[in-house]
Amino acid sequence: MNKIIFVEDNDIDFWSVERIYNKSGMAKKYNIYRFTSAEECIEYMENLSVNTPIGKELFFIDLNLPSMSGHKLIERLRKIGNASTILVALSSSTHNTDIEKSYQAGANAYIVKHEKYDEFAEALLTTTKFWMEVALYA
Amino acid sequence: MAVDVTDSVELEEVQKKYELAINAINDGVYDWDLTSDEISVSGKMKQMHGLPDQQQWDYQSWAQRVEPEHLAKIEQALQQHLNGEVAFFYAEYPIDVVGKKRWMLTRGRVVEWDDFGKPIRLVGIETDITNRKQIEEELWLVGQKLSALQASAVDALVYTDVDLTILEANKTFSNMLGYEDTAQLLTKSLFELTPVNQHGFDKKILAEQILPEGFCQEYEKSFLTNQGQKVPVSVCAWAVKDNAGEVSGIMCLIRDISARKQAEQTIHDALAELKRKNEELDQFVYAASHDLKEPSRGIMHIAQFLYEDYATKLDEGGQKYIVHIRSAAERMFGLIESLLKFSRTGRREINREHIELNSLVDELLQQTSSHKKLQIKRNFDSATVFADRLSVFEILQNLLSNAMKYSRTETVEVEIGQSGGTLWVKDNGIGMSKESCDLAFVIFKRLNKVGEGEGIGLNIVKRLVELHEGRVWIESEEGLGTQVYFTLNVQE
Repeated sequence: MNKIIFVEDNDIDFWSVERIYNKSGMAKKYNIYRFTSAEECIEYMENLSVNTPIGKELFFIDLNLPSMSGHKLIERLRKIGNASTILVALSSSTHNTDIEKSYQAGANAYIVKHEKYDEFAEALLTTTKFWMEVALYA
Repeated sequence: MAVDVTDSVELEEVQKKYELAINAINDGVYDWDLTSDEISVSGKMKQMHGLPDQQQWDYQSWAQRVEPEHLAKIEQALQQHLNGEVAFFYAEYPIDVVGKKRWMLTRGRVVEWDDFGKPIRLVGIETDITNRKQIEEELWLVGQKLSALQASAVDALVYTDVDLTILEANKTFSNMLGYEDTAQLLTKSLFELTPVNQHGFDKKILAEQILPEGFCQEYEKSFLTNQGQKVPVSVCAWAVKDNAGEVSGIMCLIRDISARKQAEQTIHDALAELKRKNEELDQFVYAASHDLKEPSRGIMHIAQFLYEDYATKLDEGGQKYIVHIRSAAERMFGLIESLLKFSRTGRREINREHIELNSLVDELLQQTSSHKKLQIKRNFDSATVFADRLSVFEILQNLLSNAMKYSRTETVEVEIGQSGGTLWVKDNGIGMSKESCDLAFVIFKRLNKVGEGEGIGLNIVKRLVELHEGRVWIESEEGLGTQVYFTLNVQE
């Protein structure tokens, strides 16, 4: 089963995500998980049974997390994840250094939490659609 | 008889030669018959004493020209010689010569005695030593002045031999190092009074500057007090040369700079503290504004959800409030973005390069979109400027954006210029009053209601100019446009 996993500590931001997926109907197509810290996410990944069938895993990782940062989490997931693990950095920062750091850590994409809901919605849906429905994995 | 005649002729010859010789030498000669008290003197002697050649020498008139105390001394010296106590009659004395004081040195000796051993004839020579006496006097005064200088100097003065062993030192120096008496310092070496790790440097200064050049540039070092504490000083030293040009000693001028050093340290500490505080503040502004983004975005989003889901359940007034919440949050978000941008600007690195102004303006115009007609006039004295390209671009971008923002005409005319290190952007916009010019650089101050903007553009300009150690100022008049000038402290 293909999964969309959010690592996001901010409730309001996650409400926005839920609303976007609900309104677009994506919520019905995919299992959406949420962790509120990097540590929770790592624990989950490490405890996954080896038997779990490999599906698409699309991670959205907020860079501004309590304790372990999003950049660090991307680095860890790149190591423990499998080849079809897609890591998308999510941040309110448009600063070049934040973007560069994310790609260096192993992110596949970087999207901005736009302050305008509609624009954020479009970015999130386009990204989700691309990785879940357009891109192929082998 | 004939022999006698011959003899007397020869004698006369000898006498003449003798007189010629006497008159040729620069000293006066006298011959004193002690029994008759008649004194015959050479022409030179009369000349020295300002007497005409034909005038007879007279003891009394000579004695009158000598001050009594000196006369007494001369007579005493004479008496001692006549008594056989000293081998020579010797005296130095001042005398009035035609109204002027001159110094004479006289040396004489008894040459004939009577059968009872009483001296009857004394012969002597006299030398005018006025010049020597004057030099002695001057020397003495120089010495006096030097000791006055040493005693009164705020700075320490130390005279050493070429190995820096102290020969003389003034009170200031002994006080500086906590010695009670300057005598305690004599024969000590300056090295003894210097921390060991500075010996090498002192030796280098001595060998490379003082001895070959004759002096050294003022330099800083430390001396040790008698308690072993360091005193920071600045030192200037000169080689003192004898008249053969050989270095006979070294004069050092030493200034206690503890107070200055302490002040320097205080300033240094204060600056470091200020820098740290500024960095902290910058960090704070950055972190705070970053964190503020999240809740303001949350308000915007939820206001939108509220509107989308519940607007139909509210009346017009309620709906309007939701719209206001959203636009207020949006404005807040804009301010936070500006603050972030501003705080990032302050931490930027400046990499200077030669910037082609024309191509920079071309690029700027390509990136500028405007619904108004833009007319750019370029007025460059020289084609390039040495500065950080990104900064100059951003400065001009902000100023151009302001020029367009604060314009009421359809066509916006802007002059971008550079002359003698000053750059400017001049517009034909609405201009502003003198008071507004003063307020223009206050953060988030929007001076006009016209147009949009967070009022941060000029602050960013100012920061970028300041990062170049330059200056920015505004000249403007209401209705007549605005000129913003800036310099980028180009030192090439």
